[in-house]
Amino acid sequence: MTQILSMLLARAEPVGLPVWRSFWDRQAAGKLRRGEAAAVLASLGTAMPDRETLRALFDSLDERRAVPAVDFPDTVNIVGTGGGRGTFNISTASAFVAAAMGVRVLKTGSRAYSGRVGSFDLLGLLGIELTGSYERTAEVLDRHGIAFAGNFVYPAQITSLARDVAPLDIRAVGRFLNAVGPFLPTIPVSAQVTGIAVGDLAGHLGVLAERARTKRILLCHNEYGVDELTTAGPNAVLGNDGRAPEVLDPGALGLVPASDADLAAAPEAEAVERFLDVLAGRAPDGAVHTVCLNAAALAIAVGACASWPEAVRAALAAVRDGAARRLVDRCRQPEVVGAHG
Amino acid sequence: MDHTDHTAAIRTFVVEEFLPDVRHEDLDLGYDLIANGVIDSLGLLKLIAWLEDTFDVPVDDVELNPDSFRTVIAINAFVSAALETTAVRLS
Repeated sequence: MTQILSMLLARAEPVGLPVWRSFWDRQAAGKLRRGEAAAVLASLGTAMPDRETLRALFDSLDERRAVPAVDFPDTVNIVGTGGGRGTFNISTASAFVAAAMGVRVLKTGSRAYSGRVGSFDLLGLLGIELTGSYERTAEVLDRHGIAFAGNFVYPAQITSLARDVAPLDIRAVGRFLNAVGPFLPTIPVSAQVTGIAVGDLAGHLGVLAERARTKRILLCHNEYGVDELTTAGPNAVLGNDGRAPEVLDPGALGLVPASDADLAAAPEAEAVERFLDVLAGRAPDGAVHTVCLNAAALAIAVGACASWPEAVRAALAAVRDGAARRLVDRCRQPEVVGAHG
Repeated sequence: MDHTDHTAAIRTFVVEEFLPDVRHEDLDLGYDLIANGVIDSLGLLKLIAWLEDTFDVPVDDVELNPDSFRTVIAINAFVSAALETTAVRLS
C-alpha cells in the first residue's frame, strides 16, 4: 500500500504537501499503482479529510496550475456542491437571470453526478456552447454577458485522475470531487456564489473559501438540502470578505415559498421546456422566485446591487420583461445541441 | 439535555482565536460576538470546525444558523443539544 493511501485510511495525521506532490508526480509519470487512483478517491469520498489535508491537496494543485492569460473582473460564478436534493437547474437559470440584469456571469459546472440532468447536460440539450479556452470564454462573455466554461478550467491532475479510475465510472468514487468541485476550477472571476447542500461540508468549504481570497465568495446553506438559495425558508449566507454571517428570510423580501414540487428535477425529456418556462415566468412562483433569489445573490456578490431588496426587484424584472428568456435564445446555437451530453 | 458546562472551554477558544488582547474573564458570556464583529463568516466556520473537533459534535446536525453561535452561552447550548441528540441516537 502506498504512503498516501495508508495515511488517508489511518487518518492519524494530515496528508501534507510533500505526499500530495509525490502522488501527482507519480500520476504524471504513469506510475500510480493499479487501482490507486480509485482507492484515493474512494477514501476521500467515504469521509471528508481533515482540513489540513484538504488545504495541502489544494496547495499541491495550485502550484501546478498555469495562470490564465485573461482575467474576468466584475464577473461572478455560481456553482454548488451537489449531493443534495434533486432539483431543476436552479444555478443555470439564475445565471441567465443575473446576466439579463446586466451582471457578467461565467459559470462552471459539470455533467450530472447522479441520474439527473446536470448543468452541462442541460446546456447540451439547449444547444449552448461550453467554451474550450479562456480566450473563447472572453469572446462569448463579451458578446452575451454570460459564458459557460467547459472542462478545460479543471486541473489537469483531476481530469487525469478521472481517466485513471477507468473502467470504474468516476461518479462511483467522485463524491469528494463533487463536494469540493466549486473550488477546483481555475477561473479568474471576482466573485462566486456556492450553495452547500449538506451542513457537514461547511467547515471544509470555509477552508477553501479562506484560501480563495482573491474573489468574494458567498457560501449559502439551508436545511432543505438544496445547494442553492431557496425561498422554501431561511438561508444562511456567509462570505469570505469579513462580512457577518446572516440569515436571509425570503419571505421578508416578498418571495413566495418554494414547495418540493416547485423545485423538483424534471425528466430529461422535459428539462428544456421546464427550464425555459421558469425563465419566462410561466413556472410556479416558488420556482421563479427561487431562481430570482439566486440571481440576486450573484448581483450582491459581484457588487452590482447594494441590497437584497434592490437585487431581487431587478431579478424579478428581468424575468417579467422577458430579458432572461430572450438571452437564452441569443446564446443557443443549433449545431451545439446535444454536444455536451 | 447534556448539562455539562462547556462555557469555559468555549470562552477560552473565542478569546484566544478572535480576541487575543482580551482577558478570558473580561469576555461576558452573553456578549454578542456576531453583532459586535468578533466573529465574521469565516470565523463562524472556524468555530464550528473547532466544535466538531473538540466536542465531537455530530456534523450532520450543524446548522449554520448564526443565532446558535451568537454568544458563549448560545454556543454552549448548541453543543449540549448536539451531544444530547447523539446520546439519544446511541441509546
